[in-house]
Amino acid sequence: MNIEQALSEEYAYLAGEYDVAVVGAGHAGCEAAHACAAMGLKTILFTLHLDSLANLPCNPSIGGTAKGQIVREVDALGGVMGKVADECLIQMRMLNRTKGPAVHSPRAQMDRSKYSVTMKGLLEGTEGLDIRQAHVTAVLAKESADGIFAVEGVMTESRAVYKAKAAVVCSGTYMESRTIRGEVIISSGPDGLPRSEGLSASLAGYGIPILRFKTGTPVRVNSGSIDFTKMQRQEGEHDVPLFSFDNEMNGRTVPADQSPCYSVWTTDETREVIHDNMDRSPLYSGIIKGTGPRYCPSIEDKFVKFKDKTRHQIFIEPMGRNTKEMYLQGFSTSLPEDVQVKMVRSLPGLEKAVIQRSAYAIEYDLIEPTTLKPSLESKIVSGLFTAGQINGSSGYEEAAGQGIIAGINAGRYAKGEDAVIIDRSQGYIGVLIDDLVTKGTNEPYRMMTSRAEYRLFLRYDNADLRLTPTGHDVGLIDDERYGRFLRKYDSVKEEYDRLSGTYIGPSDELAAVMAEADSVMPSSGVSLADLIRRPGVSYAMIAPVDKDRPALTEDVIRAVETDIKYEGYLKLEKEKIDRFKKLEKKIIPADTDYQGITGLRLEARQKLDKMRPVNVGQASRISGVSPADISVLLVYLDSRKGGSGV
Amino acid sequence: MEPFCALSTPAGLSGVAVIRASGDGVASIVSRTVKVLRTTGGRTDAALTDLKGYESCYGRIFDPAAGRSIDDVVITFFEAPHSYTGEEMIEISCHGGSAVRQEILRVMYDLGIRPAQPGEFTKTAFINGKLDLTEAEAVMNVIAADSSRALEASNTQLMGKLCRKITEVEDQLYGALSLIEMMIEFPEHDDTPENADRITGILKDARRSFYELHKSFAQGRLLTDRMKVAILGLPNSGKSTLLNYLAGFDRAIVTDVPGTTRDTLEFNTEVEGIPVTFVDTAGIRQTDDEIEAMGVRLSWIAAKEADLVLYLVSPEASCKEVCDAVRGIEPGKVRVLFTKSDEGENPAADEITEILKEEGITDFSSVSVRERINTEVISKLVSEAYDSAGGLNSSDITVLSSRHDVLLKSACGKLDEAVAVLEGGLGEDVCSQVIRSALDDSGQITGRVVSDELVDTIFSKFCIGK
Repeated sequence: MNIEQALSEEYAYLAGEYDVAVVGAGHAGCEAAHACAAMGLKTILFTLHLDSLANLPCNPSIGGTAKGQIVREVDALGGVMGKVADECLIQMRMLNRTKGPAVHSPRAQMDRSKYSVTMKGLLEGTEGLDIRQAHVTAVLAKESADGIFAVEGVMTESRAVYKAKAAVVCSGTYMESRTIRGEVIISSGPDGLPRSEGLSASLAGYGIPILRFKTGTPVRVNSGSIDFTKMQRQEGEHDVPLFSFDNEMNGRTVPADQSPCYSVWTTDETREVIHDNMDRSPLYSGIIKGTGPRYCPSIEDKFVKFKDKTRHQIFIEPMGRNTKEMYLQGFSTSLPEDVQVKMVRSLPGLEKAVIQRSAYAIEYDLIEPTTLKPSLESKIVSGLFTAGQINGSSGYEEAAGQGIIAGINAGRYAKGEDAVIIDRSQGYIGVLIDDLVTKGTNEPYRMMTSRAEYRLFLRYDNADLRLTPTGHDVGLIDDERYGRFLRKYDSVKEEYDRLSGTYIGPSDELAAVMAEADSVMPSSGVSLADLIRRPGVSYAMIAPVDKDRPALTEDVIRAVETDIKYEGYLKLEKEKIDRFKKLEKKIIPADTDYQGITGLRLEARQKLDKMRPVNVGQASRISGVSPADISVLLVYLDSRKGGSGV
Repeated sequence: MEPFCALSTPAGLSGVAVIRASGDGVASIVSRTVKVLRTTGGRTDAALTDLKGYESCYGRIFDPAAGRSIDDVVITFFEAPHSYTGEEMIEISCHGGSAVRQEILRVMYDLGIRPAQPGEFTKTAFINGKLDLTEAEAVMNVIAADSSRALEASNTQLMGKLCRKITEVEDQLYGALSLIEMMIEFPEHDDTPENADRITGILKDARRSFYELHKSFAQGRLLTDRMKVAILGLPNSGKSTLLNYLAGFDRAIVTDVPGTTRDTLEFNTEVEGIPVTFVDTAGIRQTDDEIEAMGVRLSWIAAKEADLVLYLVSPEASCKEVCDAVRGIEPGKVRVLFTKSDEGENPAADEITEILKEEGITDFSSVSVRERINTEVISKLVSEAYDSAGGLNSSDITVLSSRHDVLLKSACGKLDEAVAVLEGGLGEDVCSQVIRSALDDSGQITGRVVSDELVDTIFSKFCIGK
């Protein structure tokens, strides 16, 4: 439907004109809307319910492996998730502390309702951004070329028509969703919220392929009914840097007063209850048709698929400071409500548990992500961007990471500027988007550090180094913050040079340090950097032999120490990245006729023709395209340029 | 471009082989293993890097690790962009024997000049604008054909076996990797194995398997390029008689006149299923006859190129003559045969044996070709030489391609490093990265892509969830 047709409908009226309309105010939509407005564009953000803006309908936590890195990347680009999470955290821990800096991952428990309110307040205070509770039922676009459309606006259920140059759709799990508990199926969004109707049909109308996925969430229990003495208690940590670089550079730290989490193991009774009721599971009876995630199986899935495991660990996490609701991580299920009660009460300490919200599985519509460009713009409807679960991902952080990129690029599209693409060597955000748009996914896609081939470089500590220049370029990082960023890395370099250039001879103090580190005493003069490079030796430990050490902040020390300790491996990684970048820079013209390229295998021809990759690097990652096909493509591209060399 | 190299004359036997290398600084890289004896410009004190474009030199290639010379060669230097590929290039014309070629290629790989991909010289030439535009399609067809040939080769039974073996080892490595990745991705999870010993064990096992395969290339090379067995000896020691016996017909002219054979004669056959080229040579002696002297020089070259040297000693040969003539041949590949045993024993046999044992030659037998006494010793010597080339290989699978060999050797090095990283406590992230790069190497043989496989392995092995 185009805007003229929309306005000609009965009761339709023109409600506003914007540069960018963002549909859906979850973690993707909030970042997208904030980015557009901060870039100076007139932006409107639609949500089905204003009180559920930036909702955390599943885990009350943000961060974790790979996800913590993404939050940091969003912040480095000038996004909001990290700042809001820092305000609302009630417990924080650094995962993988002992496993090398590339996989250090912060994870924080959130006060769920505070998170929603804080984000709402932040967006309400953002200049140029209007927030509106409304049910958007259609994206409006006119046919601009053969089978290609261009966005003109959006329309709501109440027949309000909003003109917009670009639209960002972040529909989460709401499009045509239904929740399932055993035999009971309800047409509903998550958390009992209204679902989105009509929007997916509107997208399908333009020829965008629609897929259906499934995910789920566990029960919430009142803590007053829990006997915590039967559980393992897990405290927060204090020496964890906050998510936001701004907060970190301002010297802010995690709050002293943190809430504990708990853990228990399932019992034989749990297993029996589940086995006795498997015939009532919608997964096994065939009611659920959507594809669920492998990394997040329901508890009944775990018992069925891993028969030799007799018990599973369950974590009990607080939902906030002013509520007694507790979240049962690892206990997601789609079994009926009456079975859920028996299952929960089979857990130690939860014998008398009072359930406040029941667990459910949810099915929802999404689009085929391989119909997207790496900018997250649709190849079918220009000016239409999508981010988050609508693109097949899972997780708040993955949504936010796509949201900020979709926002930046929608804004640039509205301004007539080229898209910004984060590549696989720049961030997890780049890996995530490239995987989705190049390979697609057949289950909700969760980011994992092992998906990143340049993991040693994609660290929590250096997200600013990787992405803050981009954030500054697009206008999301102001000059003041950018200046501080540059000064930080100046001190990193100075300290690195000082440590590499300072040599010390043997001394009693050095002997003491080496003994502490269980390291061999150097026989002759050695640089401070060489000492740090030794296994078991840290920057902090060599303080006694480093008399002229300047006063530096933790973030600078961390960066210098990592650069020195992992220097050889980082150098190898850098070489790999350089090779990767070469192919990323070879742009494939949009009008390339793959059918006419001699030497391409038939499968490669078909795949390339369908996917229309933007550069040779992306082409090389399409399944079914071989290295020989890529060689042929390179020669072809070069001959098009006139054989002028590379 | 990073430098790459390949044999540009067809594999198998040919008089002269040409090895080409292309890329930034190839001359300076290769100069580390070459002593220039004389340039076409007449200089005798030049280095390879001193050559001008299109200038050639005569020189000697060394194995820098072993410190011995491999071959005397002619090297031509091409300055960028005036070369086939448009990059700096060198062409090495060496002797045709497969041992020599492989040695030179191995030395170049060790120096960091990697094996060329199918069609890479032509492709590079094209990209650098050295080929006509109308040739573009031809180039693309060359690449496509090369890779489909490689694909065909990989579909052969032997390749299938090799791939299966490597795949087994890869599976172990993916197992180790998934243990590490589980620890990283799901640190709070109860399945998280904190078992570094188990991982180290897997890495060491995998390394051993790859190493055995790498060692088997010594055999694989013999299978693809034929084992070259040179028959050497003083004039009239029965060399041609032996060749004719092996051939089953009169391949060589046999007379009682010493020095009858003046050129080297070759005969291809199979011994116990091993493809062998026997080379009959001119007898080694001091001579004033110019033609015969040239024959003697060829004999020396044949000995150098051979995988195995049968050194024939007739009953009448003197100890001094015999021992003088054998010096200069790598003793490890020499097998001494006392010939014409029907005519009586060489009176100096014990003395000869004692002296040559001191030289490092360990194998002595006697044989009479005419009376067919102990002639089976020939096939015994050939098959023993083949077996010992395999070294540690117990898997009955043989690596046939030098590209595969280089990849397996590289993977071994990385697995050693991965163990060192774990033991040095440098972190699971680094260890994982090193294992991945080993799998990248083996994946170039089996076609498996780490990033595609890893996540599946994790999910299939561990029970995880929120």
